[in-house]
Amino acid sequence: MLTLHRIEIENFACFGKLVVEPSRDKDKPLTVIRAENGSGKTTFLRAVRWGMYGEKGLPAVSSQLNFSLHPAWWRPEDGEVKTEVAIEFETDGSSRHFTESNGSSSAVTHDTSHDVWPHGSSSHNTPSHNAVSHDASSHNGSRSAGNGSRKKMHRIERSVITIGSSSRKSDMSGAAGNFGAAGKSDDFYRDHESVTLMFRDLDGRWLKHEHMPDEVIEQLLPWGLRDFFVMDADEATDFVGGSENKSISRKDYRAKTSNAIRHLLGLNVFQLAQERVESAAQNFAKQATKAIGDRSLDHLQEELDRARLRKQDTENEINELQDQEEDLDDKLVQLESDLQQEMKLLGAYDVLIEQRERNKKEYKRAVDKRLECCANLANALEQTNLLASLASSTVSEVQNLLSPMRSDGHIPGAYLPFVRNLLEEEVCVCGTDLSQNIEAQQTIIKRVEDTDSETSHASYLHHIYEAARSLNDKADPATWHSYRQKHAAELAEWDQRVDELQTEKRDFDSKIKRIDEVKVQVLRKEKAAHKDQLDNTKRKLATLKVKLDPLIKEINSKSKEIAQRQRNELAASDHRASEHIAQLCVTILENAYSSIENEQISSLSRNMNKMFHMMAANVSEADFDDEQESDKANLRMIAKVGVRPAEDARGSMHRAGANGGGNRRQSGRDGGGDFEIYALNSRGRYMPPVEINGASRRVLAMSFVLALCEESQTRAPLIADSLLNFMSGSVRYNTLRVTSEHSRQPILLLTYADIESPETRELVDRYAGVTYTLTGQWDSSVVHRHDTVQNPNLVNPTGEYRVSLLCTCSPHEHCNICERDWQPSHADSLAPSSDVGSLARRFASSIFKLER
Amino acid sequence: MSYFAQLLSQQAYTLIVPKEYSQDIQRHVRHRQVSANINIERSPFRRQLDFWAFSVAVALSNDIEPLQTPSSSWGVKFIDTRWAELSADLCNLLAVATFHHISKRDTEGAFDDPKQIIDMGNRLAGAGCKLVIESLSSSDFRVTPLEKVLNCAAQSLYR
Repeated sequence: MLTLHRIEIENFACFGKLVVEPSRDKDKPLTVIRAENGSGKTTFLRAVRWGMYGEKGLPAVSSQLNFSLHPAWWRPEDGEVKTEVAIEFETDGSSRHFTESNGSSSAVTHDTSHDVWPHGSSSHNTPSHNAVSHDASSHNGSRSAGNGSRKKMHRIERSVITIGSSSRKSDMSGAAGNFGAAGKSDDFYRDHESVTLMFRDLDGRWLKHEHMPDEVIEQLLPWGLRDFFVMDADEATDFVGGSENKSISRKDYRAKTSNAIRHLLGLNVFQLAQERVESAAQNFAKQATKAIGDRSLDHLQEELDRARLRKQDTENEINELQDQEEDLDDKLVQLESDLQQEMKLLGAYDVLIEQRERNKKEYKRAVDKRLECCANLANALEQTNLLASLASSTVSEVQNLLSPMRSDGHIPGAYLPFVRNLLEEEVCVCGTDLSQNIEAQQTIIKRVEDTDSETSHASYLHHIYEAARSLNDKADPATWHSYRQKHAAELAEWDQRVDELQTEKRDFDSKIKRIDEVKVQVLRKEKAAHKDQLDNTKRKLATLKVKLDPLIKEINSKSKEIAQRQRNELAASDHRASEHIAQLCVTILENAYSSIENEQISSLSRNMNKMFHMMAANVSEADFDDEQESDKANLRMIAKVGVRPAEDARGSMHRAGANGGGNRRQSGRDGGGDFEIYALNSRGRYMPPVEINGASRRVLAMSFVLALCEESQTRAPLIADSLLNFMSGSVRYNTLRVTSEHSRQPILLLTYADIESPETRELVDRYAGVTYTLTGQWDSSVVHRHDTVQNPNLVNPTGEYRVSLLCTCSPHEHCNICERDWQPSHADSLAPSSDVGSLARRFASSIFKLER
Repeated sequence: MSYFAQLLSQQAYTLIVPKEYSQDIQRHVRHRQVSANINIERSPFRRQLDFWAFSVAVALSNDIEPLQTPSSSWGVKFIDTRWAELSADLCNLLAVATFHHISKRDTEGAFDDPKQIIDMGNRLAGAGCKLVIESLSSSDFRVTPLEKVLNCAAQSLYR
């Protein structure tokens, strides 16, 4: 068992100086550190990781630059600053949280066995005992617990000095340090990193540990298992294919899962033993061949060895290609999913383009129709009807004037041509001969001429009358008006239609503009490229498998031949016996390993499934209301989870391409077969990680971590950041409850939103022995202005730098100090005239842990 | 062909509009537009002759006195009747209007003289086009010139 007692951080990034003492109460094991984003949760986690693992515990900023450790307020011109993290922890012999067998077991197994204190005594000021002696039992592959009465206090101190540019010249004679990430690399560098591991003796004094601190830490809390002790929930999701924004290859997450399982369940010991005995068996066989002294047999043995090597190489190559094939398969699934998303949009795009084209045609037709209406209306101006109607009063007057003349027969004038004809013949109309009566003839001629003039005049008036009558007949204002009304109404209709079509067009244009066609093209190309690569890999794989079969046949045949000949040689009987025994051992170990693996993996799966369902219990639709990845599977869709050998997964995925034993990964590679976490839906279908949403992946990863810890009886603290991110409602509540109940010493870094509901607060009340609040980025001058007190406990009370502060207030308690920063309305209500004394007492009593 | 159409087509006569409205008239006549996008709503009249005829009718409808002769003092020629055939109805209208004017005023005049008839048409058009241009130039931008001139016609009809 490993229990954290105290974490001290000084001058680390946003922290000035803070001390956290996690709960060690068995009934209330939970420690809550609530903090808003940017207040230092992740920095706290990094500080603990750095304290334990040094440089490799920090995230890499880039290939050239390292993560900046120095305090935020520090500037290179300030000279040097020392960053320090110290972690105090207690170990006893009851846990087996480390099973690393790398030959360095002695480093921790015989350490300070004289330091003993009785079981149940307090950790502080209590004599200690060999804390790491239980390591020996774990190296033996035993699962039995050590002596629970042995406890030992440790303290690891890690420090580094960041040196500014002004101090650099004088210090540069030494070895170059690590340059910081902020500012130019010339501005500062890190140097004098030191790490010290101490233990407390019977008198309560801290004494230096005789072993290398990093070795001891690696034994106690192996780096490969960091997610089981110092968990960033984002990184923990690597067990199930990565978080929402990160996708890792199947090979990598299988390797991570398998490593955790092998180490925590102690399976790697069996695998190593199996490999060694197998190698011994082959050596015995070689010696047997040599002992026979037959050259041809020696030659055969050499050929067999070469064939075995070739087989091993081919198998390695096949495994490599299988990994590639799986990664490409995953990538293709991912690309297909992305493409489907874009295609949905593109489908909409095609429809929109079609609709816009239709709209264009319709718009053109409407505009033409409208123009036609305008032309019809304009035609109304040229109609005779209009002109006649407008002139109707004039026309009527003329008609009225001429009508009586017409009635009287004055118009048209009567034209009498026969009178002229008679006159030419000098005869009167009455028959009188006018040839002798010249006077009468002249009189008649004059009368006829006079009549001609009047007739012409009357004829013209007749034309006027006819013209007026014609115009009058054509005048019809009502018809013109209705013509105009009709076409004006049509025009109004087409006007409205044109407006509607224009609005529609604008709508289509704006929708089309939002769709990125280029992205779809890029995805299609990328998918095609991956498909080609996958086909290529499959071809290579098929070729190799074809090569492998004859090799296996060759090996089998040569082995048989050798064995046959060896059996004929009695001189080799002793060696053969040894070989048989070794082969038997291999078989026994194989069977034992297989049995233990099956049993433990089944048990782990059951436990994991149980944990998962505890976290997913009572989940309702309301819990998914605000999910962003609505197209991905949520908790309700996952029916069963667990861990399985990767061969099973591969078999189910590549059944079509399976080729008997040739497709099965060979044991011994990386210490044995891989494992992977799986999730099945209600129909028993495997759900790849890309189909599962972020919250579900977190729950999946968390159930794996807790189940594996229980299965392996690991007793260690769990410091977790961002655990409840992306979770809501029952999932959040269940995850918090299950983690609190099933983790030995959970230290959770949570935001206010994570624990704001009454239910989660009740959980915190029930399980949290200690609560802290981190308040980020406080400017000390602001603190002074609001509080009007010169508080001696304030971290770094002078200067204008910004630090994160730690307060012991409870999550549902209103604290004037820590809520001010993220609830400004409360801060405003904190008038300087408020109870200054109580505020000062609050400062003094509650928060800043200054002393070491 | 009607009597007056025949009478007025025997010789070429000049059609005139007032100088001061010549530009405005052209703006509202489609045949005078050079743009590819001729807008019927902005230029409701197909030809200047249509505008001229409409002005004559409006003058008659509104009892507007024809302008005084000589037309050279106020008018500008836009076409002569060799190039623009006058419709029979328009010829009838012009003849009736001339007869009406002379008989109404009881003045001496040869109302059967084609030149006199065309001259009366020019003077009436000159008088009527002022009203038409005024209605086209009203400042209501929500109403197109086509609607304006149609409104003008409707108002003249029902006055």
